[in-house]
Amino acid sequence: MSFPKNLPLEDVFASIADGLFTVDTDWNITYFNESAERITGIGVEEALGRKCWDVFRSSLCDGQCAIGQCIEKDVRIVNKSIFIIKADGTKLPVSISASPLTNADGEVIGGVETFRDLTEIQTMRKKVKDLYRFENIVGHSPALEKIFRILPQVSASPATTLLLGQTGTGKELFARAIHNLSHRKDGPFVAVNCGALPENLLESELFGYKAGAFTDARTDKPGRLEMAEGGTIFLDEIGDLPVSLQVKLLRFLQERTYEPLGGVKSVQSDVRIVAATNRDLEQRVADGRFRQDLFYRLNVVTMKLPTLTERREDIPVLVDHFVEESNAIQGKAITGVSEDVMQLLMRHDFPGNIRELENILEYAFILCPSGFIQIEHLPEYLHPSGAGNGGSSGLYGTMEEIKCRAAKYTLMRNNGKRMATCRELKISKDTLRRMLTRCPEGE
Amino acid sequence: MRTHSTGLLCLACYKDRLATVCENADEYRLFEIRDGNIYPAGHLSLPSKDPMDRTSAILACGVSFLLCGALCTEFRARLESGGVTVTPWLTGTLHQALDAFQNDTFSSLAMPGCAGQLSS
Repeated sequence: MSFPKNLPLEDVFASIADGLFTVDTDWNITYFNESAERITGIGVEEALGRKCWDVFRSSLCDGQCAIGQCIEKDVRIVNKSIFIIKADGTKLPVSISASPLTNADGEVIGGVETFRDLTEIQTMRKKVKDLYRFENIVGHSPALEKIFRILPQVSASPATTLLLGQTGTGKELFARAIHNLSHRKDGPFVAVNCGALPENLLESELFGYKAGAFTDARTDKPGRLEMAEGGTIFLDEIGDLPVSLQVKLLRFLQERTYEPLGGVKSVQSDVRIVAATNRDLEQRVADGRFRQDLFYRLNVVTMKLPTLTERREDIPVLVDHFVEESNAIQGKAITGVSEDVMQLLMRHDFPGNIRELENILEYAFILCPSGFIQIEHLPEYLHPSGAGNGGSSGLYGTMEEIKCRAAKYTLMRNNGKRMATCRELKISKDTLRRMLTRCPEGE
Repeated sequence: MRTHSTGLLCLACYKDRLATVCENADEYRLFEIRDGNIYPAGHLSLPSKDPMDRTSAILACGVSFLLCGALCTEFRARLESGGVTVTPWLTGTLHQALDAFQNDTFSSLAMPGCAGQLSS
């Protein structure tokens, strides 16, 4: 539908609730509507003629400019969620849409960007999250219910807690739940990734330093232990903690005191430790890479978090949760996933666990404009014909071996339920039994 | 002219200009202030975008002054509590920023809507 001629465009743009600005080919702002003034807090007189990045100040401005991408790829960007920084230092979540502007000859003469304040939507999102039990932990599988049953008692105790689980199983989420359910909930929760920082920096990060501890330490700097006083410190990837720091952490766990770098006096501390790792700590102890005494000190209460394949029945409710969350954040109206997508997700092995599921849906949200998420919106490796998909990768070997794999795979997918497996394969119980008994060794 | 005769100056950069958002800078360039003059002193190239990691790295190398673009309140508070004098809401090339630092003329580089935030 074409736009009616002779309409006062400026009046139209001024009346819309979304912020709107246009730029020329040198990225100078040429139009800035009233809503843009209201959302950014910058007057039109100050904005006009200035570079768009100086006015908009978004997380995309340096290197990932939305209008720039539109011009380069000749596409439109719709409903991309980002943040801008206002002059008072607050971060404002906004959803942007961008498009190139061309003249009658088809030459690019600039671009247009609209943006919507997502603050209210984010507040709603928090309310939605608050409805869930134990912060953001979603699910009702037996494996999860087992943890939910002991979580309040574990949280109420002051004991050091060790969370074991593969990557993406939500270790930090559980650590936060322990903190929020404990009497320390009003205190700080400080997370440290022990594997992300170099050894020297990690020591000063954890324990802080005193002025003069090293050449450039002009003032005292509190460590994250001090920042967590009265609360909980979450030590992620504890298995990667350098041996030299293991000694210092051990002393802290035994005596609840530590010395900042360059300090001469011990500091008493009241901090609960929740540690987590995806490593086999016992093996690391056996290999001499983790101190046995520290292992025992950490291993007071241990919780093993289930993988997503161990709680497959949670996949639908997790999908609903992530779709709802993404809708709230991105201001979209995705209905959910189609049945065939759900079946595919139920069959997938998820080596990256819940994080992988979340990433898959995040990817799908980019490609899916509205309605149901379809298979073509999923990452390619999940497509039925894609490499690495369980449905087709087993087509090798003799017919007997292929049948065996098909039977075993379908049985696993149906959680060991033989009747469901027979229905899916359209075979009798006797045939299934025969197929399984004829499986070659190792299959 | 600035009265500071020594110290380490850090500029949050994107290519040859100040980065729009300090936390998103792809490089932090360092300059040594010695006897009232400014000398290049290397750069910090940080893969992590976590503001806490970035603050720690800036503090660990002993930065005294930071010049940058937009900066959120939490990031600024962490830097200032570590003893860094922060001058945010600036725009312009590195040359312009260094010039403004030496001559105390930050107001000419103020981002739109931020002139009142600069206390030069």
